[in-house]
Amino acid sequence: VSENINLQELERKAWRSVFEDRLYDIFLGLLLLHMGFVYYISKLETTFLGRTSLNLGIFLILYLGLWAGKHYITLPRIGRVKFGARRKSRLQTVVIITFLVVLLTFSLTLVGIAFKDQPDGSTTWRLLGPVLLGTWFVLFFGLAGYFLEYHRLYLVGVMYALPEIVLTYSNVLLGVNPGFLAWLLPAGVILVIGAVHLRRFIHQHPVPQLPETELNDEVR
Amino acid sequence: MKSANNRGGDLKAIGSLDRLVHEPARLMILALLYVVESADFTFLMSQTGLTWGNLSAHLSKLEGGGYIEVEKEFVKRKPHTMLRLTEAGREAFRDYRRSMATFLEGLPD
Repeated sequence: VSENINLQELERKAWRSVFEDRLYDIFLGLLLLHMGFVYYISKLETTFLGRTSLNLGIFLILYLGLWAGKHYITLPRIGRVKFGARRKSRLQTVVIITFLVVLLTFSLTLVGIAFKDQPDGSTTWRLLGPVLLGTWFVLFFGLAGYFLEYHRLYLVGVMYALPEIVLTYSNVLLGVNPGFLAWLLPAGVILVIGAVHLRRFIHQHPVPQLPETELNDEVR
Repeated sequence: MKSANNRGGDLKAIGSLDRLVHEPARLMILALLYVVESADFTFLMSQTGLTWGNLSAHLSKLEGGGYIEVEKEFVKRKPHTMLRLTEAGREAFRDYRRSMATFLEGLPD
């Protein structure tokens, strides 16, 4: 063995192989598009329950798509793996961060609703709100990307930050309303990159030809 | 495996290397299972590039030597087999690393 076997790098490579299919990127890209739909759905003449059901339905379809992709595309190609304590602890950290972010976002939304009719703060809040929301996204995806060593999440964070900022500032500064394009373009960036890599993943990892369906029994 | 020592410049100590670990394909398998908790057959194939027959043969040898264990679990009510390193396998891999590092240390270019 002439090359040094770097075990840390080996573990990292095994870890990254789980994300190599880019299905999470595609899921997050579609979720960003969904956020654009939410904007329009909120303007529909339906009840709150109707809008919520529609949003939840779209989310469930996307999640089902992610599950199906992992189940039918990724697992037959690269198999299953369980990682050690270090990865599990980092994953737990991300779960805690996500929980806190959801809790804080919900609280801030309630505060925002409570103060939205204040006459003095409305313009400032209108300009500052999207920047704060964008920073929020960048921070959340940045932390998640760091702890998961899934660095593409940094780009995802920036793309998630853009729509509200573009929408508000192009409206205020240029008097132009980009509408759904504000979501479509950043989501498109994530989706196109994801789709290209997914295609490459499928070509690079053909489904192995195995003698039996439960081939692992042969190991015994 | 017995710990080998090359401090006295004794080349014969290389002969004491664990042959079960020393084979390149098995070394790849052991190194991979050393850094993860457990993995299935397909994952080992995708990461090592070994064919099914090859991998199966090497895993049988490693299991025979007590270096890996097979654990059966149910995924969506279907049986699924995961492979993990035993404590003996972990120790054998560590010993091998130490031994190789000692042997190759200080060799002239």
